[in-house]
Amino acid sequence: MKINFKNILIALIEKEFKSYLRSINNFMNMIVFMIAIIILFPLTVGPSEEKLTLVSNAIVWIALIVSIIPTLDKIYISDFKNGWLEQYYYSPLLLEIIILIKCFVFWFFLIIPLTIFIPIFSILLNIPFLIIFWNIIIFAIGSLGFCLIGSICSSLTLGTKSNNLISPLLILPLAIPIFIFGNGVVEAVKSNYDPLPNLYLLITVCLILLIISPLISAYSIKIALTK
Amino acid sequence: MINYLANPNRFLNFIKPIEFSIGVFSFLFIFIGLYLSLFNSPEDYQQGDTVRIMYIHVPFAWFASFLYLSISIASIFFLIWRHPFADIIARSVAPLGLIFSILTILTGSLWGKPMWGTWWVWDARLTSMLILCIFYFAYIGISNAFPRKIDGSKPAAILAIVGMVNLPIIKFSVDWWNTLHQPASIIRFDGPSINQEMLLPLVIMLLGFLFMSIFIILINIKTNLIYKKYQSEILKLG
Repeated sequence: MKINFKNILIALIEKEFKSYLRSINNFMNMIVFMIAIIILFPLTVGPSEEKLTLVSNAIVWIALIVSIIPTLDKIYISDFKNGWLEQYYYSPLLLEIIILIKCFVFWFFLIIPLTIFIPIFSILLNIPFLIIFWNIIIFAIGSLGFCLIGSICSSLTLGTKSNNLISPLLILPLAIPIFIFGNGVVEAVKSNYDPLPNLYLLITVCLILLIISPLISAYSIKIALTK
Repeated sequence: MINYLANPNRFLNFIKPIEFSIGVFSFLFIFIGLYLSLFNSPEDYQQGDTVRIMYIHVPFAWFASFLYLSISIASIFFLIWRHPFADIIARSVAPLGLIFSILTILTGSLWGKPMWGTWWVWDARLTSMLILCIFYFAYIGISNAFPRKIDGSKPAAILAIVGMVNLPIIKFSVDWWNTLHQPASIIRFDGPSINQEMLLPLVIMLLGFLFMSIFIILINIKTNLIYKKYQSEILKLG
């Protein structure tokens, strides 16, 4: 096989995809966790429809975010233990590009499939169709930013004794702009305003992260490897 | 000057004579400031006596953000010039900043209950202050999370620089969004809008807090240096 950028890219994506297929347990865990949250909320808030319509959108969001966070800080940990990261580091391809590919694959194979569950949960919670549509768009864009933040945090905590405790602390403050603008879109749709300004801001945040995150992650992976 | 003081031994020799006087200054300023603010300053025409919480709330808030700024500057120095002393300074500042940010939130909620009728609202200034507090927690957490303590320095420094985004948000949150928190009244383009009689005790309190935080940071730096020396002695012994 000839070694050029395209072949390396395909090989990388294939390797990542296979590793996600092998750890399909993580994915199933996420889904079970999500379903548990969706069932628990109506039981604890109370089944009356007035109360639920106020928080129904938030419930779907919380279920998605809380189930993603435990997997977010494990983007690099298995590669770090296997020695793959060192191979990436010494490969002719820039580490930043590999990180970007890894983030995209993580987003595409692990997070995007979760969008199937948004309509199901939304119908369970009586969310109108227009908001379901916007929710899917926001989730597809915002989760990419979320993955990039997760890449920063999981690379910073490589080699720690207990990364589970710190990662949510690192992820939440950085992810707040995504929540704010995502919520802004939904609020605008609910009150018949133009949702596009908030959507553009959300896309801006994700684009900025797209530039910054690989640089920071590559730098901190280099630090983790030289320890 | 900075080059000269970057050596830990020279730094320790430099601070030895002035350390005690800084402590005395901080005590004096805070004592005078507390007296002036509690007994010798006017009541607010709207808020009455509760305005006196301001004299500690504002210094806590200011120094919580200033200390974060100093951590990030020290982290930049550490990452660029790789001087271990910058890392020790950043580590020594962090606990004090964490305490200040927690106390800002506590005094703020004590002030908010009688004035706004609520302990806490999710408005921009309060939320960004809470995020600063979380950043301090994350900084301290990540700098101590590694089996070898030195390994945590660089990740923590990166985190401190990333968290610097939050500082302008804290400062301008009251101008950018409609918040319950009152707008800036001291650092403004058209000069302070606060009453002169209130400004004097506040400035004295700010000076007192400045000396106090320098004093505590110096003690922290000394302890960290001693700890580091102790560890290297252990390494030498094997």
